[in-house]
Formats: sequence, structure tokens, C-alpha cells
Amino acid sequence: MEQLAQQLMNGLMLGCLYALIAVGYTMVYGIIELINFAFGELFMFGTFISIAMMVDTITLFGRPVPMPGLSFFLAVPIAMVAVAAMGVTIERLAYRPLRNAPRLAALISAIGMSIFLMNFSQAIFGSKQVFFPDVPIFTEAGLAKSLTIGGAQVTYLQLFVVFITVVAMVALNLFVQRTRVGRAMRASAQDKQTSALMGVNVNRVIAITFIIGSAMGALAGGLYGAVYHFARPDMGFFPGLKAFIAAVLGGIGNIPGAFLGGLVLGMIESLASAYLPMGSQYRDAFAFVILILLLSFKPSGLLGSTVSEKA
Amino acid sequence: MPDQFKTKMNPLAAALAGGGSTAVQRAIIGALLVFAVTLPFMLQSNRWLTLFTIVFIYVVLASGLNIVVGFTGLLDLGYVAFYAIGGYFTAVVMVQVVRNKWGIELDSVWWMVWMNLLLGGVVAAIAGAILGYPTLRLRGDYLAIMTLGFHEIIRIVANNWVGLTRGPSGISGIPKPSIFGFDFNTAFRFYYLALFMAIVSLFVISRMVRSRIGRAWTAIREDEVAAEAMGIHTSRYKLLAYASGGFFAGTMGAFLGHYLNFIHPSNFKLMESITVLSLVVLGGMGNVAGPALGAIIWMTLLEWLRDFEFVQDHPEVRGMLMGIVLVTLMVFRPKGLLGSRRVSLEMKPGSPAPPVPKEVQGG
Repeated sequence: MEQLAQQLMNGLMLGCLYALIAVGYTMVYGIIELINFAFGELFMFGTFISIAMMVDTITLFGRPVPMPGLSFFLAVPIAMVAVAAMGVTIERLAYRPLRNAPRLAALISAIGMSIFLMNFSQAIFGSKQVFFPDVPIFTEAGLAKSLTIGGAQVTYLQLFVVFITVVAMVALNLFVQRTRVGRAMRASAQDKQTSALMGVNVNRVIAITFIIGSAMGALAGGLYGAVYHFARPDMGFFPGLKAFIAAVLGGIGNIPGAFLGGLVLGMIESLASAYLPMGSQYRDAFAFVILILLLSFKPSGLLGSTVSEKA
Repeated sequence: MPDQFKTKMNPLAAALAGGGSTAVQRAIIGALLVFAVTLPFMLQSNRWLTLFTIVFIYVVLASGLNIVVGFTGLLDLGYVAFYAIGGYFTAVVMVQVVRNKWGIELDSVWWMVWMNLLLGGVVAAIAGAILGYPTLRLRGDYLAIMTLGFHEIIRIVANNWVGLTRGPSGISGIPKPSIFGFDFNTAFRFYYLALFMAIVSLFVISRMVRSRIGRAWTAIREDEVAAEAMGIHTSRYKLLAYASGGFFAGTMGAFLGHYLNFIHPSNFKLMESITVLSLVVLGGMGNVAGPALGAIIWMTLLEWLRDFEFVQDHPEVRGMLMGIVLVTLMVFRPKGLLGSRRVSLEMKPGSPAPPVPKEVQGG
């Protein structure tokens, strides 16, 4: 029972991280129907930039470089801004020229971008794992501060992750539902051409989508680093794919769906790796099994409307 | 395809792309063949023979992937998974079962090597069809994610199912191929074996894509709804494309196992799938000669780069290069080095369908 509660808590936190990345996938896919594989890598850059801002010196291109050594709470917002800028640049360079090209071209461009970023970060930060510093407020004498809820050890950090995710999701949903830009986004998702005729600057809307998606990915990256204490150039691969699966699970193009999908996926993964035989070795495979089942039985996802086959 | 499309291309490209007069085309192919056959006599070192053997493996891989990506227009990002299936199939059968379990001397069953080349392909083809099945009703982009995931699952299984695959230690002792006592045990002989396999595969693929099947694949790529309306059973042909692509990868995987005598999960990294994809994209999608040429140029370059100390210390340079090539090609020259005219018309932004040739319009 205690173990179950513990696993549920771990799953909840993991799910929150997936949900944050999934927002980018779901919003971008909702509007331009492109799987931006690079979100996984932007997440990774979020972790690295957070580290870079928090430490005193970091090795870049094999040379030590002095760094400001800011607090976690300043470092992550800086990383979000930097990664958002990267996201917009990527969109401008690799996707916008292909807006009217067949989707295959855009997909190949996206995977190329993702591979480039992964290797580029290896060139900058090296192939070895980089340590993510402790966040003082969440630790006491090197140990994570925690409290016991229903038999499970819940760290302050886990609560913080869940809290931030809920705030971000609610804020984002309000933004999309209530503001002018949000309305433009929903309009563009329905019909780009018609919205353009109604005076929506579709290119700007898409750029904003990338900004939000990338910033959320970077936020997830910063939190992930704080929880797991490492960064590595290939760390974004699985979280990126799983976040996409979470987005599909919740119903692609749907922000509450991304949240729900992320949570469900995180829970399933955490429970399956704890209770299935050899579960922990195969933990990265469960998400794909879910995807296969989902595509076979309910491709529209938990909250999604019907996905049209060939729009 | 009408000749008027061809005349605008440079003659060599046109000939390789399947246009031009048949005589010119045959002459070029013949010259290339003669060159490939005589090359080992001109090369002094085994280094280059080995390199070209690897290049031929990639020629087949790229051509096989081209069936799925280039002709049918479905993005497969886990192609190397099938390569792994073929490699592990023969390794497990030969070493784990025949030698270790049944205690049979591998020399006495030399014919199994050749059989396994085909069977490895068949197993991979079945895996391809099974994997593609759930995505049939959906858009192609889900296939990209599925295949990416499948690739990782295969790698995870290869790493963790120690009883079958020996996990991270890999399977060694896979026999070299031999035929009636003639052993393929030198770089020189392997070069010709790989060349032979590349030629056979290219021949089969070029016949396939010009048959009814190939036209169906192209139709699916160009417009799936229209293809379906024309009576093409799109699901069946898509499955056939996955299976055919998988077959060539599986065969080459088995070949790799026998060539290296050793199979290891790190032979089948994600980067390999991306490499093969970049060969197809670089050479030109939807064109038989394109990926082969892409493989020859790009793999030679990539393998040659390994000789530099800087690249050895920074393997990420190759990855960055590959990413840049994929993005720039898609943005500036989506048809690749010698893409078919048809693909280039489709891929051009803002022109949804190729214009109808004049002689057809009149009719």
C-alpha cells in the first residue's frame, strides 16, 4: 500500500513533466500539424541552460567559462526565455519555409533539427553527464526535505513540480480560452486560411505557439534537472517522444488533454516499471505499447475530437 | 513518364533517374558496373575495400528505405530496427540455437548462412507489416513516432533479454559465409559479395517500383484519397511497402552479422536510422539511383571523416552535419541530388499537384 502510494506520487510528478513538454507538441500539432521532434531537445537545453545559470563555472566547448551562479528560481526563467528564442529561431529556419510543402518534407526537417540540436549540445557541453546542483530550499544537509502523506514520502520538490505544472496549465488554458491571441490560435487551428482572411496574422500566431511550447519544455527541463540531478545531450529523446505520446493520449491539439495524457502516462509508466516483471528495464517501452494500443482502438485520444485521417 | 520532363535535367542525372535513352542509360550503368568490379584491383589497401563493403550495405539499406519514404511517402524513422532484427535473427539461430543448443558444428551447415540471409529478411518483413498495421488508418506522421519507438524497443530488448541476445555483451562467433568450401574470409571477397547483393537488390527494387505495385506506391504518395478512389487498395500496398522495406533491411542485417561475425546492440543505434534516412534524402527520394548514389557519396564521406582525429574525438560533428544536411535539403532542394522530376514537383512549396503533361491534356 505504501509502495503504491509512493509510485503514484512518482508517477504524478513524472506525468507533470511530460505534460509540460506535451503542451508544445499539442499546440504546434494543433495548428500546423507538424510533430516538432525538436521539443525533446529544447527540453534538454532547458536543463543545460538552467545548470549553466546556477553554477560558477561550466565547461563549454572543452573550456571553463565563468557563470553567474544564480538561484534556481532565476535560472529556470532565464532558461525558458533562451529556449523560447531558440524555438522561434528553429521555426523560422526549418519549418516556416516548408509551411506549404508536403508534410513529409517538414517531418524530415524536424527530425534533422532534432538530431542537429542533440549533437550540437554534445559539442557545447560534452558527452558526459553534467551534475545539476542542489536547490537549497528543497534540501536539508544534502537530503531532500520531505513529508509523509498517506504512507508515501513526498518531497517538497515533488510538490513544487506538481504545483507549478497545475499553475502553468491553468494559466495556459485561460490564455488560450480568454485572450485575443488565444482566440487567434484556436481560429488558426481550425482553419489557417480563413483566419488569415479574418485578419489573424497566422505566422505570428505560430511563432507565439513555438514560444509557449519551447518555454514550457524548458520549464520541464529545469524541473527535471532539479529532480534527477543530471543533464546529458541525449536526455531529451525519450521524454520528448513520451510527451508526444501523452499529447496523443489526451487528444492532440487539446491543452487539458495534454495535461491528462501526461498524468496518465506518467502513472502507468511508474506503476508498470514497479510492478511488472523486468519492469524497470523496459520502462521506456511502455509508452510505445500504449501508443500502439491507442492508435488501434481510440486514435482520437481521451479528450480529443475525432482525428481526421487525411486533412 | 514523358520525355519532356527529362530534357531539363542534366543528362547524367536524367539517365540515372531512369530517363534518357535506354542505350545511354545502359551504357552508364554498364560503365559503373565495370568500375565497381575492377575497383578492388586498383585499391592497394583493405581499408578502402572494407569501407566500400560498408557503403554497399548502406546502398541496400537506403534503397530499401526509399521504398517506404521515397516511393510511398511514409516517414520511417526506425528503419534500422529491421536491420537489427535480421542481424539478431541469424546470430540467435546460428550461434545460440544451432551451435550452443544443438551442438552442431557450424561449418557443416554452411548453407544455413545463405538461407538466413533470406529468412532474416522475411522475419523483418513480417515485423514491418505488423508494425505498420496500427498506423494504416491514421496519418503517416504517426508512423514516424511508432517506428522511432519501435526502434528503441528493439534496442531495449536486445540490451535486456540476456537469455536470447546476450544483452550488452553481444553475440560473437557468427560464421563467415562460405559456399561449397569457398570461404568469404578476406576483405577482397567480401567486397564482391556485398557488391553482388547491392546489384541484386537494386535490380529487384527497380523492377518493383516500375511494376503495378510501384505505381500504386507512387499514387499513394501523391494523393492517398485519389489513389483509393482509383481502386488502389491503399492499406494493402502500404503494408507491402513496409514489408518490402523491412525485407531488405533484414537481409542486410543478417549479412552484417556474418560479415562482422559479431552482433551488438550498439550496431543499431538511432543515429544509424537517421544516417540511412539522410542517404535517401540526399540522393533523392522516389528514384532508384538516388539513394544508391547518396549512399556512395555520403557514406564514403562519413566513413572517411572517421580517419580524422578531430572527428574521432568529436563524433557529434557527424551528427551535426547530418542534421544540417536534412534541414537544408528539405528547405532548398527537397528532391535531393538527383530526385525524380515528379518528386520535385510535388515537394515544391505551393504546388500541390504536378501539372498534367500536354499530350495527356489533349486526350
